[in-house]
Amino acid sequence: MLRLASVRLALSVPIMAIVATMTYFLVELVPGDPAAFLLGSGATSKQVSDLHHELGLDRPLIDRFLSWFGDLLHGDLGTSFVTNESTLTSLSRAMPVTVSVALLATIFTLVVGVTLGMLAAVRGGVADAFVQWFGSISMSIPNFWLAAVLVLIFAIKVPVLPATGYVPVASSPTDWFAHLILPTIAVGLAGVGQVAFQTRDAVADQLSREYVRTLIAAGLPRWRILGKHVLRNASGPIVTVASIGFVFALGAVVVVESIFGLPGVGTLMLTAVRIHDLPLVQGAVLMFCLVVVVANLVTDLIVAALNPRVRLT
Amino acid sequence: MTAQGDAIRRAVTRPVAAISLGWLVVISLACACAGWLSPHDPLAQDLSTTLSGPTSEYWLGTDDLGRDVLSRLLHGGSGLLVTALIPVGVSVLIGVPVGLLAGYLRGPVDTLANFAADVLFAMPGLVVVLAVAAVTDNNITLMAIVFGVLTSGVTYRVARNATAGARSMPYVDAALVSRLPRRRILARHILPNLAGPLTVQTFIQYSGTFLFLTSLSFLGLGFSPETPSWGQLTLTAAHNMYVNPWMMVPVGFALTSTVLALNLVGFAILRGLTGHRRPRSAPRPRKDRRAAHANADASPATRPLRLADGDIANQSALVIEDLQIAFGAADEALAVAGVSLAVRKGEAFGLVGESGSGKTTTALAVLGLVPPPGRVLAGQILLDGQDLLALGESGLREVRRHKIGLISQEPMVALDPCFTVGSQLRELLRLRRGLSRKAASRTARDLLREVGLRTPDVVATQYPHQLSGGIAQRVSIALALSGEPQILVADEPTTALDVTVQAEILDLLRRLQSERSMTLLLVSHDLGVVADLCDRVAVMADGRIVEEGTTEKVLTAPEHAYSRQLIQATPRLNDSNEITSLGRERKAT
Amino acid sequence: MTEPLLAVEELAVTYRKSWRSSSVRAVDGVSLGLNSGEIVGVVGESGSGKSTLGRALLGLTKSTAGSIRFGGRDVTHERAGSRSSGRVLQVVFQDPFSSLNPARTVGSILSEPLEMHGGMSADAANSKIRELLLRVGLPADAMHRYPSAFSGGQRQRIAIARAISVDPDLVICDEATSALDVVTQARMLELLGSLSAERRMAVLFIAHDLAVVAAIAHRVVVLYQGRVMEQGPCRAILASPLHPYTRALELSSPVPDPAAQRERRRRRVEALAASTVEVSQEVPEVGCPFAPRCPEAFSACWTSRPKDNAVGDRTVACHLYDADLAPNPENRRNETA
Repeated sequence: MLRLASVRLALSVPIMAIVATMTYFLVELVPGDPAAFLLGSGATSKQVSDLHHELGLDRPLIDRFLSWFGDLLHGDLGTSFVTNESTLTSLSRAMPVTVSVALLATIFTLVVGVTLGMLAAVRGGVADAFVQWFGSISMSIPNFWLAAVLVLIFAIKVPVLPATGYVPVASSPTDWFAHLILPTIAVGLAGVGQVAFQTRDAVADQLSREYVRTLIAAGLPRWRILGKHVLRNASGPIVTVASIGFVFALGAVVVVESIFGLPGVGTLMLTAVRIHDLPLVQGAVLMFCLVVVVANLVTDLIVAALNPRVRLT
Repeated sequence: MTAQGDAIRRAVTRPVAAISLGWLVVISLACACAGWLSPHDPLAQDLSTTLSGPTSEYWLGTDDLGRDVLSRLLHGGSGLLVTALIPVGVSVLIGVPVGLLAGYLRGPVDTLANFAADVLFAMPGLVVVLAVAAVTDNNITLMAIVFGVLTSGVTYRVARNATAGARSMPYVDAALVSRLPRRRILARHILPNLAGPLTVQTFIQYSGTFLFLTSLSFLGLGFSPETPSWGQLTLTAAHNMYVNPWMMVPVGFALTSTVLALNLVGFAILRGLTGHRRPRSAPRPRKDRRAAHANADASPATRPLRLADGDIANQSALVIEDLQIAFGAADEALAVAGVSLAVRKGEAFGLVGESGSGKTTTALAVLGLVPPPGRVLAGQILLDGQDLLALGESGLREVRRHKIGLISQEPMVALDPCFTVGSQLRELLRLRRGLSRKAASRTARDLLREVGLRTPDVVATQYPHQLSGGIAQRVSIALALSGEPQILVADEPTTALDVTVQAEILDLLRRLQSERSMTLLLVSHDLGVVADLCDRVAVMADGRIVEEGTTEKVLTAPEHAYSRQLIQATPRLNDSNEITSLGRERKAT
Repeated sequence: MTEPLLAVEELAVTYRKSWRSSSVRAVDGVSLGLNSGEIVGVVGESGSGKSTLGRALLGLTKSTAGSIRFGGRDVTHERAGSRSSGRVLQVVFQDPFSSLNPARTVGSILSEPLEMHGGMSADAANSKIRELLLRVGLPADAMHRYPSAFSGGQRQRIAIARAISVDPDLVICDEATSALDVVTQARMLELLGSLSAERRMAVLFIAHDLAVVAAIAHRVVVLYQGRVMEQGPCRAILASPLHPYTRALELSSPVPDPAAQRERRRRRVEALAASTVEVSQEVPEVGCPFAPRCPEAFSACWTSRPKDNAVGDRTVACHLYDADLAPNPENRRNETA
C-alpha cells in the first residue's frame, strides 16, 4: 500500500509539471495581448509598450516561462495585474469555500446515489424504474437553474435555510454548514444519477457472482451479504464515478457561487476574466489542477484500500 | 449491417428513446426555423408589459424589457446546439485515431497515450475554458476547441478500450494467422466494435457539452449579450425571480427537456448494446404453485419414489421426488422434468450428464438456489423428513447454515475477492456455530489443517487471488464444512483444476466424507471422477434421470442407450495401458 | 532424411507481467518436430506453457530464443500478420464463441482465409464454402446465418472448416475440444483425425487432458513448467511412461471404471511425493522443475537441468535416464527394452 502510494505520488509530479507548463503556454500563446485588454481600446501604442515593459511582457517567452516556473516552485503564483495582491493570497482565501462545497456535494452525491442504486439493484421493479427516471432527470437539470430555484424557494417561499451568503467554518460550524446546504444540493444533484446508475449496475453485477451464492448457501443474512460483501466489491467503480463527480462539482461551484453569494474562486475568477487579470487566472487554473491531481491520487488510494487485487499487485 | 448497428436501431425505436428522439427533432427544427416561427422579434421591447406571465399576446410571457420569451427561446437555442458540435467533433477527431492506435499497437504507444489522457483528466474543463475566455476576449470558437481537446481524453479511453477489447478476440488472431492485411482486419473486425460505444459516448458528451455551454452563457461568457441564448435567459429569469418567478418555468423546461432527451437516447443505445441487466434478487426458493398447476399434465419421466415405503425415507439423507423446474415460458421444455432420487445416509451419490441435462439445477434446488429465472414448479425435496421447498426464507437459512454445505466449480470466484481466507472462514464459523471471535480463529485454523493445508496461518492471511486453484478449492471445502453439514453438495468440484490437483481433491473429499460420515451429492460431467468417488450414480439427460444404480453397474454394464453412448465417448486411458481411443476404433470399423 | 514440416529448436518465450515484476519463462527451451500428415499432441497442465507455445508457433507471440522452421524456412521472427506465403498454417482455438466474429455470416467467416489465397471467383468461393460445410457436417445453407445460430459444437465445426479452407499443411488446435461435451468432443476428434488422414494435414493438438490427446495423436509431447518432460510415440508413452511426471499425469487421469480406478489410485499415491499444496509455484532456477514433487528425485535433480535423454524412440528429460548421473542407469534402460 505504501509502495503503491509512493508510485502514484511520483507519477503525479510529472503530471502536475506538464499541467503547469500547459497552463502557462495556453495563456501565453493563445492570440491576444493582455496589455491591450487592460488599457482598453483607447490606448496609444506607447502606453501599451510601457505596460508591456512594466509587466515584463517584452522579455523572450522562454525567459518569462523559466522565471515563472522558478517562482512557481517557490510557491509564488505571481501578482495580480490589477490589485497588486499576491495571487496566492487571494486564492487561498477563496479556495476553501469552493473546495468545501465541492466536497460536501460529493458526499451528498455518494450517500444519496449509493442508497438509490442499491435500492434499484436489490428491489428491482418499480424502485428500479423510479431510480432510472429520477437519475436521468437529476442529471439533466442545469445546476445554475436549480440553484436559482432553490434560492427562490428558500429565500421567499419557505425561509428555513439561509439562501445566500457564507460564514467561515471557524466562526460558526453550524452556520457554515447551514449556508452550504443549498449550494451542495444544487451542485451535487447532477452526480446523484451517475452514482446511482453506477451503483445499480455494479451491485447487480456483483449479485450474479458466485461468491454471493457461496454466502447465501452458507445461510448468511441478506443484509449482511449486501452491506458487507457486495458493497465492498462494487465500491471500485462507484468511487471512481464519485471522483469524476468531484471534479465536475468544482466547475459547477464556480458557476453557482454568484447565485448563492459565496466568496469562492468562481467569483474571484470571473472578475479576473472580465478584467483580463492573467496572473490571477493562471494561478486559479493551477490551483484547480492541483486539487484535481490530489483528488485523483486520493481516489486511487481509496480504490486500492478497498480492493486487495489492486493493492497487492 | 453490423450487430451493433442492429442493436442501436432496436434501441432507438423503443418508446422512451423514440419520443426523446422526436422531441430533439422538434427542438432542433424549431430553433432552426426560429425566424419564421417566432411570433415576435426577439429583440423588440414592449415596456408596457414587462415580466408578464403567459398572455394571449405573449404565450410564454415577457422578460424585464418586455421582450417575448417564446421568441427569445426559439432564437436562443440554435447557437448553443450548433456550438456544442465543435467540442464533440474535436474530441472525436483527436480521441478516436489515438485510441485506435493505442488499443491496436499497445506497448509504449499505449503507455504514452494513457499518460496524456491522465494529464487531460487533471485539468478541470470549465476553469481552463474561463482562462481561454480571459486571454481571447471571449472567443467562443477557441473556447469550444479547447474544451474539445480537454474532453478528448474520455473519447480516447472509450475508443482505446473498445479497440483493445476487439484486438484481443481470438477471431482477430485467426484473421492474422490467415494473413489478412492489417487495414482489412481494422475495417472488418475492429472498427465495427467501436461504433456502438462511440455512439453512446458522443450522445452523452454532446449533452454534457450543451449543458457546459449554457453554463458559460449563464455566466455571460462566450455568447454575445445581444443575441438571446438559454443560459442568458436563465440569468434574466433569476435576476427577476423575486418580482415574477414565472420566467424560470419555460426556460428550465427548454433546457431540462433537451438535455434529458439527449441523455435518454444515449442510455437507450447503451442498454441496447450491453443488454439491460435486470437486477437479480436472490433466488426464490419456494415453488410457484400456480405455475405448477398449469403444468400439471407434464408427466414425470421416471416413476416417483413411493415415500410411503418407510424404508427409503428412513435410510435416506435426502429424497427428491418428482422435481420439476422451468426456466422459460410455460410451453418450453422443463430444465428438470420430474426427477426423483434418494441419497442414502453416508453415501456418495453422483449425478452425471452433459451440459444442459439439468444435473446442476437439480443439485442447486436442494439449497434453494435455482438461479433466476428458474422456478420450481412441483415436487418435494426432503431432508430429514422436512420438505425444503415448503420452507420460508428463514427456515431455509437455518437449513443452509447447519445442514448443507456447497462446493462450487470455480474455487477462485466462489470466494469473496475482497476478504482474506481467514476473515471469510471466521465470519461463517461465528454465524454457523455461534463461536466467539477467539474460538472462531482457532477452529478456522483446525479446519484449514483438516482440508490438507500445512500452513493454515499463512493461508488465512491470504486473499483468494493469491491462492492456486487447488488451495482455493481446499479453502472452499473448509468454508462448506464450517456449518458441520450432514450433506455436502459438490457441483463439478474439480472441473476447473489440473488432473494432478483433481486427484488430490478427490482424495480429500473421500477422506472427509468417511471421517465426518457425511453424505455427498456430487455433480459431474466426468465419468472418471464419478468412478473414483461415488457409490451410486444417476445419469441425467434432458432434465430426466435415464438410469440409476451402483457406480459399478452403471459404468460397466449400462442398460440405457444414452449411458452407453456417454461411456463410449469418454476418452480413457485404461488399466492395461492400452489405448482404447474412440477415434481409432471407429476408423478401424 | 528430409527435413520435418515443422522443426522447433530450443524455443523460449519470456514475458513480464508488468514493468516491475521479474520475467516469467512460459516456454523454456522446447524442441519438437512434426512431419506432414502427423498428429502430435502437446499435453500439459495449467502453467505448462502449452498455449504460449502454440501462440509462438503461430507468430502471435514473440519468441525470445531458439528457432522455428516451417516448411524448410526460418519463421522465428515473422509475426502472424506479416508471414510471407509458403507452407500454410491455420488455427482452431478453444472458445467456440469468441473465435468467430459474431457480426459476420458463416459464409463471410469461411471466405476470409480464401481471400488471401486469391484468384478465386465469387462463385468458386461459394461452392468451395458449401463443400467445406458439408465436409464438417453442417448444412450448406449455414453460410447465410450468423454464428449465434449455432451450438458450441457446431461453431467449432465452423472454425475447423475455416482452418481447412486453404488446405493448410499444419493446423494448430489449442484446446479445441475442451469446451465441448464428451459426445461432441468424440465426434470432433474423429473429424479432425479423418481430415488429417485424407489431406495429409499435420495437426498440433494442444490439450490438458492426456486421454483426449491419446485418442487422436500419433506422438505426444509432455510439457511441465515450460519444458518438455518426455516425448515420443503415443502408444509407447502411455504403455510405459518413463518420466516420473508423465507417470503421475497418466495415473491422475481417472477412468470410468470403479475397479480399475481404485487400482490406479493406489499406484498414483506412490507416483507423487508431494501434494501441490506443499510445492511453491516457482520454477526452480536450476535443476528439474518437477523435482519438488518427484518421488525419485536425487541430489542432481536440484542442481542441474536434465538434458533430453534418448530412450528408444523417445526422449526423456530426466536424470534417471542419464547414464552419467542416474544412481542405477542400467535398471532404467532395461525397463523399456
